[in-house]
Amino acid sequence: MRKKLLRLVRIAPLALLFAGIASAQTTGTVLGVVTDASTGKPVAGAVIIATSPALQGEQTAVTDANGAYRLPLLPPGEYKLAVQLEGYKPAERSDITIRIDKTIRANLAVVPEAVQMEEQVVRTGAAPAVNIGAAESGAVISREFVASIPVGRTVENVSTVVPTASVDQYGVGFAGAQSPENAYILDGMNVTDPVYGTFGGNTNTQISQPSLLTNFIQEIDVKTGGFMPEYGRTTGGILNMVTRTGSNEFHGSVFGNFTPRLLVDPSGEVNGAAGEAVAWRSKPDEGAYDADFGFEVGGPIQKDKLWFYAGFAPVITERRTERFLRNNVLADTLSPEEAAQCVGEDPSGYGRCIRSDGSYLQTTAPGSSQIIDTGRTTYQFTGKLTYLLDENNSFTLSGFGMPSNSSRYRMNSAATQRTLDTDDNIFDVIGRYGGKFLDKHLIVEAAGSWHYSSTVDQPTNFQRNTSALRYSEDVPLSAFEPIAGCSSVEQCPVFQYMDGGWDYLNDQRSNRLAGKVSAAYLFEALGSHNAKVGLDVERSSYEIDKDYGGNAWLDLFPSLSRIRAFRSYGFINDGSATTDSPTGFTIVDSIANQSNTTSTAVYLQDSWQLPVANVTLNAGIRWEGQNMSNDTTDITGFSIYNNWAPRVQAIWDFTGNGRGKLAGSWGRFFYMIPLDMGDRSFGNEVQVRYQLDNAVCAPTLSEATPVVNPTALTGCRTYEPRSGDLFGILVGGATPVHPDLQGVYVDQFGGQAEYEILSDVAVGVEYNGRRQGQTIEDMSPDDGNHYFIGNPGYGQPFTVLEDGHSTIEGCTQAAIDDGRCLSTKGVETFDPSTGRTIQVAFPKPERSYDALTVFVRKNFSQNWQGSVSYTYSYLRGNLAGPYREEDGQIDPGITSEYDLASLTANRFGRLPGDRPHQVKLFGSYTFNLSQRFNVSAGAAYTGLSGNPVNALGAHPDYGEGQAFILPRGMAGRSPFLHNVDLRGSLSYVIRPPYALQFSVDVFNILNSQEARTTDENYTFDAVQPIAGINCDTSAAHSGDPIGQLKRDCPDVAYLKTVDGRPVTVNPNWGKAGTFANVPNFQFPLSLRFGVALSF
Amino acid sequence: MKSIRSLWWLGVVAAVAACDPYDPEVGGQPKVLSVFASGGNSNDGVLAEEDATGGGTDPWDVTSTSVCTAAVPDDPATADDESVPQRVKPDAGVIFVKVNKLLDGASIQTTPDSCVPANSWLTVTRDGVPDAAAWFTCYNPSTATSAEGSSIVIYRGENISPGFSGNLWLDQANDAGTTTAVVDYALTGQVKDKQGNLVDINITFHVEPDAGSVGDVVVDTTAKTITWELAECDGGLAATGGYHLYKQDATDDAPVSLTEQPAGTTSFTDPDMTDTREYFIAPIIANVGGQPYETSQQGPFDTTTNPTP
Repeated sequence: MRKKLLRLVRIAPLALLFAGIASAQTTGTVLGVVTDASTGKPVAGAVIIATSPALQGEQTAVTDANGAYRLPLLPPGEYKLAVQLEGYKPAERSDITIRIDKTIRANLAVVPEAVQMEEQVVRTGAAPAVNIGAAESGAVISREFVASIPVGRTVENVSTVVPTASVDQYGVGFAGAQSPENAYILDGMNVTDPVYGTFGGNTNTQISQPSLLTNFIQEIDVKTGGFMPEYGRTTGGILNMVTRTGSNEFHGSVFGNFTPRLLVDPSGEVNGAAGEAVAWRSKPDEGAYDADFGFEVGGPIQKDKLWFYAGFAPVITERRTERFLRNNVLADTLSPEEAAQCVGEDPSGYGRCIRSDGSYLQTTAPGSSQIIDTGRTTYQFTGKLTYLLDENNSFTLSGFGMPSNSSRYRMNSAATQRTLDTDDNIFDVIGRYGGKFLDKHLIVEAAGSWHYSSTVDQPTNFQRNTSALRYSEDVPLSAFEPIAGCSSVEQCPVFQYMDGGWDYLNDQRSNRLAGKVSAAYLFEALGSHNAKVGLDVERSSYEIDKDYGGNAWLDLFPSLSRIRAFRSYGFINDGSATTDSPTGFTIVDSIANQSNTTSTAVYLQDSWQLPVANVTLNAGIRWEGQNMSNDTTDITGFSIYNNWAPRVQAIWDFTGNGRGKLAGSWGRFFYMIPLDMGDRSFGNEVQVRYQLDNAVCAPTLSEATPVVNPTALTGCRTYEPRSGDLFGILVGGATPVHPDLQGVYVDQFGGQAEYEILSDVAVGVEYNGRRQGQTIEDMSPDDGNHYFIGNPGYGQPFTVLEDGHSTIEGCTQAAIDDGRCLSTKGVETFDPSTGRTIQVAFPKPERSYDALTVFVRKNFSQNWQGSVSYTYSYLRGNLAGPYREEDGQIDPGITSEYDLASLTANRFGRLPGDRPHQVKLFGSYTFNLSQRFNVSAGAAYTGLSGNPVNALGAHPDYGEGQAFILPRGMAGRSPFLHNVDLRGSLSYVIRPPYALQFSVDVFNILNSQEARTTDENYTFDAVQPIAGINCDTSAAHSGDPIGQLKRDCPDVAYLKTVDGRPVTVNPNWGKAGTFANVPNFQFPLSLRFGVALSF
Repeated sequence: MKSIRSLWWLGVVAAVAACDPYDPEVGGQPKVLSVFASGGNSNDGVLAEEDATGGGTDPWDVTSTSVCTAAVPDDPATADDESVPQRVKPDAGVIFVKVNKLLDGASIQTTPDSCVPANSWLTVTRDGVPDAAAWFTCYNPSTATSAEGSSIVIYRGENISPGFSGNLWLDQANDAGTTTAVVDYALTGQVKDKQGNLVDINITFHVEPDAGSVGDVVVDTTAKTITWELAECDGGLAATGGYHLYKQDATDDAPVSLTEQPAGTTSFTDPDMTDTREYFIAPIIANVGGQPYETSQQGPFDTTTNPTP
């Protein structure tokens, strides 16, 4: 009898199963069945008591007639469950880890008093590690993981460890989606930027606004797909974060982390276009560093009733970049040493020497070195109050803020616009109530929040009042700034050099008020159900003032003696001219807009645990509606009220004991259009393009002397549109919208197989698929002069009414005759190369992602943890997402993707972010040297395929990066990236609870500095696609990218401009990019030192 | 376990499918889709009517109007010889041959940077005899619509190569027409596609004559007269068969025929003239193929603006 009982007790922990879903987004739930270990029958009336340092007081439940109990709304943390029942020995288990938004099953067995046992309290062992309650993909990142593995300091940094996660220009994207498609949720409420959909609102920054430090976060739940209907407004992943809370004892820490960049690798890879004079590289030894230091403390205001938590930390990033100038070595003036290196001349006819590896032979101009200081300082603060009214009612109030200021540089430019300062701010306040009713069968939650963010550029007076001048031809740098040893454009050319003031400046603020309420009800009907219904409303507003320095951003073409306004705000007038504006339009100083959007969602979902076969079915549906309007123009942009998103999951525990599962899921997910569209498409933005009379405005402009005095252009408003000169209006504001506009959606489906082969060690395989449904984009009937918004490839023709904005379905003959009949399926436009009328179809959006991941996970136990994953994926289609990777344009729903009908060809192919191989290895081990000392060692390896590379050309009006000369992604890949990081830490317990920890992280220990970006502009000339070509090549990042491309794709050699010239090839094509906003190379080796005193 | 194996197979299939997301290039025999001529690369450029029905033994047939610019005599007061001969330039003088696939550029132009016909593949006759002027052929692999493949661009003028500082191919100043008669060009030859298949090029290109601009048009609503100067390329009146006047109708934007005036006449009285009407003048060349040939309408002319077209 005793043997049998002990065996039953050992089996009991196997029944600790993760099950169900549908718990709150900030708390978790534990449920289970209590059985008599001697009979195996359920016992009624047993009292289950949950206690935890994370829990105010204790939570109790009583088993029903079936022995079942349920403890919802438990804050994440380590829990102990105790069972008390008269006539039975007390039982407990302390291995219960509650994760946010997870429900686990903890079945317990109790032993009758009559049974003789050595221990008086029944204790049980480790819990299964397989989540058999849901089919969503992703992972919860624990504090143990963050503490021991070398990862970044912020939540977003840490989320990259999840399989399928990949860094893009604006954050971390998941499973083929771009980061602006994510939803960022903090303490259960949406903190996503309402304007662009990113985490921070400033999309022009070089050092992005850091997300919260992990010190302030209790847990990060990264959902990469397959989540249930209570989550929405995303076609990407979800970063579900819960801030830390207080406890019944005072706990906290003082911490500091310092990454002195000067200790290793004194200078980074050289940035700068091949053969051009301006170059730059990181120069950490000039004083660059990253640092954060602060404190966090939590404790009781009233024990078991009211807790507080507060934290504060400045986060500082200081960058030092060396700007220096180079002269080309010309083939006709070679020293013997140079002659040995010169194997050829550049193809542009400048006679510049090229080395055998394809690089240009250049010499650094003496005395040209200059150190540019940039950086960002953010003051993060967070606070939280947790109040337990009684066992069934709790309240939390939390908030965080991060005022920040930053500066960014521009290198290929004059000193007047080398740097720009910007102030950013993010602030959130969240209130939440959770209550249990009907004997804890009904769980009600209500929450409200306010989100605020702002970005304010701080230009100098000169930068604001002077036009930016971009020289869109090769010009000698010596015309602008001194450079020793240069006397000709052949020696020191610069292309697209910027002079004058700053181009785009803005002052923007956004607010969001949000509220949500939900009710979950637990009941039995052919099994156990957890049904949940919820309502979720968000109202966001966006104010912006924007302008261009000097009212216009000018493009100069010295050889043509031509100056044009590339960007300038204005409006069409009655045909009169003023001293500041030419006939036909008026230039304005700035544009101000206020736009709004309301998003409403209702959902119903159920988690049904079938009484047979260990199967759980999760199903639900979510309805979302959104409207958007502009207060400034009083235009209602769109209203979409038919976004129905059904989602289903099935999970089979094929082991019957919680150690394995087969699962499948399918769901539809809708994207919420951010407010950028409300400003740009429904406001009063009208761009005017015009030609300046260079005889008046640029008296010295010529090929020989290309420099104009930017200050002389201020007030120079004698525009003289001449025959053949560019004069155009780009009407962005008051954009007509298809009257039957449908929402943007993605269908996701997947399957999982997972098995726990050893205690805490699970192996598995997972398939994830995504298919883009309809999208919303602006299209143009005239190659980018006027626009309309619709679902490309779908919908019936519609008519734009006389007001220019309102629309109705269908077209009359009159509307067709006067061009007011528009179609989202295609347009009749003209061929800019021949002037011929052509019919162009707008293709339906396509984005297909398929990924197979194999993984092994070891949760932290027995002093070690590990995670190994390999993902093979492909991502292809014609729509990358809300932003264009090719030029960084982040205008969700109104990118240039469908603007230029004559450049529609070749858009299908490998999409940016298509990185077929992804390997992620993480592990750590803790050595307990003594009661007081322990040492922890962690390591991380990430291997990532390169990004697909394009060969791009320009559009006459839009500029570079618009034409896909080859089909998308056909021109090769950026290099495969390897990254190895190590971490070691030493902990010393001074006197409990005081402990001191020192840590050292070594990032990129191999000091790999491969290119992360690629210059994809094959030419800056206006060209058209080579349709129908298939010459899959690895030219990009080869030794001779251009030569290789021409060899592999001979048609490219014959490429012509739209007006018939052989194109001028960008000599930097296929090499590392020269972007300012993103790192062009892997970060070099760096050390981070950390110290923390915790109590 | 069977399910797991199925998932693996699914992955393998996905991996194979992912190798190349691109459609193969168009194979088979090359086919000319259409031939047209263009005179401008904007939506107000002049286009010759597109022939999409040629091929086989029938040549592709393209006709362009032309514009004559008068000769500018040398100014003896200056040392430089600035005389410019009279030119008759087709409005749409650049011929585009649209084909259904990519071609072998090396069979069309001698080098990627030079549009000199490779191996002199193009033969051009003017009114039945070899044309002495230079013709150039460019391979343009690009297209504005994926419904078409590449193009062969044929024009009479100058070679546009890197460093070329003159007008671009659509602005080539050539002298392909006359003031008195239609000029018929026959362009024949063969090029190859990338697989070595031959493409027959057989085009007839007709350049219609032009008499040049009429000058100094005056619309006088008081005298109810319209006066003009003789067309500048009329060849001493002998070539011009008169002038056809048009008037904008009161109810329709399209000009309607008003009257024909004989050669040498430079004025007309319209008793119904009002200051809201516009007039158009089309010089008539006396004998083109045995028939009077009316050139393009010039105008509009009214009381406020009388531009010289």
